[in-house]
Amino acid sequence: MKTRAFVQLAAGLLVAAAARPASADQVVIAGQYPLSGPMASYSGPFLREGTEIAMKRIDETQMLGKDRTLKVVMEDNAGDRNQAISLMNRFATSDNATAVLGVYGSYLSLPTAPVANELKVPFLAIAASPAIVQAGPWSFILIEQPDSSMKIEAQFAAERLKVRSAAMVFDRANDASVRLKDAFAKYFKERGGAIVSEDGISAQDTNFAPIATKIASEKIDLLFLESVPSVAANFLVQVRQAGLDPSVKLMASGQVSSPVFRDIAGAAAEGIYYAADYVADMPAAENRYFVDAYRKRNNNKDPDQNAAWAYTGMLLLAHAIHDAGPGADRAKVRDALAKLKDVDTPLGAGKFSYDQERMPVFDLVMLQVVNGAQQLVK
Amino acid sequence: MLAQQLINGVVVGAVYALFSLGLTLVFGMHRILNLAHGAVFMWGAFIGYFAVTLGRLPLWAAFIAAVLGAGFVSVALELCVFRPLRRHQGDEFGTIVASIGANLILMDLAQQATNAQTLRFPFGIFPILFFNFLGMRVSLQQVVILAAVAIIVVGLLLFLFRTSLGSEARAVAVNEQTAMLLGVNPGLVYLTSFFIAGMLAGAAGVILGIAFNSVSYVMGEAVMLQAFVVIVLGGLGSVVGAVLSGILIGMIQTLTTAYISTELSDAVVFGLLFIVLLVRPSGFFAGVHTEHRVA
Repeated sequence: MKTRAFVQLAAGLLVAAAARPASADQVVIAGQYPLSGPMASYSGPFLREGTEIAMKRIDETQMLGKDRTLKVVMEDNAGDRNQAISLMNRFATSDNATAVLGVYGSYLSLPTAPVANELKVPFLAIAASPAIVQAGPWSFILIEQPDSSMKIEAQFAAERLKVRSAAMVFDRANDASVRLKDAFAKYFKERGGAIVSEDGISAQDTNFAPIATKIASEKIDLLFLESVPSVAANFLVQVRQAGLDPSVKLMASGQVSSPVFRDIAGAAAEGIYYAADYVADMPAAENRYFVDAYRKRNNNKDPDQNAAWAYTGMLLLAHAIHDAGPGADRAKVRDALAKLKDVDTPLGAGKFSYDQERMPVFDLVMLQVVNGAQQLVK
Repeated sequence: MLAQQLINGVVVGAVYALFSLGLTLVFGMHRILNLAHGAVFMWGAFIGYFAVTLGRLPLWAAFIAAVLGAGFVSVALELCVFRPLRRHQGDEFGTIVASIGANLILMDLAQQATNAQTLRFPFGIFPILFFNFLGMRVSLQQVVILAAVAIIVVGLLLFLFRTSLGSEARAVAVNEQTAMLLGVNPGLVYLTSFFIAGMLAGAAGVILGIAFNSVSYVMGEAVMLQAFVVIVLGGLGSVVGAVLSGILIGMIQTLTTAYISTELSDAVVFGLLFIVLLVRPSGFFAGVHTEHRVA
């Protein structure tokens, strides 16, 4: 009988503990990333790292305000759209998240944004597609518009590099990649350039020999690449092996600022230009803290763009929660997020704002790989 | 450029053929559709990679380690998955489902071991050397791949048709009970055929891992899809059919990508599969090389 009474008591305590609401001063931010699956190799672990460093930063500086603590629920969406949608539902309904960060990329974020809007939970997508913002007032994006970065790159290609004909390779399954490619082509043509060929590849591809051989045989001044870092690097290695003329200039979207790209491409990456929203060398104070913290946790390795995005996303949400005030509901956090101005972050030149359309605004930097390292182009 | 693309296609097709041979061998002999074959291929590539990077072995030694290692992974599948199912009179459907489960376990293990990262063999592991002739640019790597695949296929044919163990294997493939009455040990034949299939997959894994500069835990999935087309086109159980259709698929895929559209390369290959299933369900090469079928 005693045993039975003990078990009943223990079960009662457990039920009571589980039913207890989250502490009033504890704020929940939920994050979901591709920690497994085909996208994980270049994104998930870096995003998690950025998130964890941001959690420490937010706690240390009491960024949410005095007596308010942060709880982060982080889950793996495996790069799967259905899983991303299920997690968004769970975060909003079961985990009582104040805001959601992540999903990663337009491919996953586009179908998830309408769910966040339906559930009325602020969703900060680590993605660039404006369609995510157009899904409703609850969704935001963290990455600069294709137009901004591609305008800078096309102008640089036509006016500084003085190239006139280009071949383009892009990720055909990625909405943002197609937009980037189209934007570059538009601005390049406006400046007198000609697009000789456009070839779509997939992030799951590894055999690029057919396209590489074709491009190596074309008369071009510039090869423009838009894909995730590991795939862009692998393509570059194969196009060099296929005999690409060494005088052909190389240009890519900012994704290749990741160290993963330079690790994989090695000498093949030499000389490539790109406009990026993140470079570890930038002197902004928030970036110095982030880089130091990242290096301490990662054998002195520099963070990549993904880690910086996740870190920035967490800081932005923390600032919005702070600005919304104690006990603020999701609507107030959403409104505060939309009003953020000149927040110190590691991205670009160091200041981040949202404009009236809830689009991110910060300065990009032009970089080039020289002797295996990325350098700012003056 | 056409000749150059044809060479690209033959090289990639030869590796598809190598991979598919293991699949068609096990199916032809034992009627087991081993859907974990792609995971064995992937583990072959990983063993080769770790032998080079952690074991500091030269490439030739790492290749042998990978081939043998993948052979043992395949044998482990036979011992832990397929043999217990046979003992319990498992049907074909159960065997397929079990192999899917084994595939997922092997992939999960690789994912954990690599933190889901795509790995690369070190630069310079294979000499970067090109030969220019008749306007084409052929790499030493491509030449070695074709030579290696040719040697392995000839070795497999010699084993199957010129050795007593090969004869026993084919006897088990025709009728296991009769073979047992003749003194053949079917258990040994199963182990042998799985070991050979694993070795073929392991060899293909290392070759593709180096040629495409990519080793990841998902690398077996795409190759498995191509292998289905290869073995259906070549005729299930046909060694020569697998080789010829592997090369054919490689060329079709390459030419479609280069001259039509990258988006359509898989559609063209699988469209061809559909047509073959309609007009010649036993495969293009099923009747032509019956002497080179294992069953």
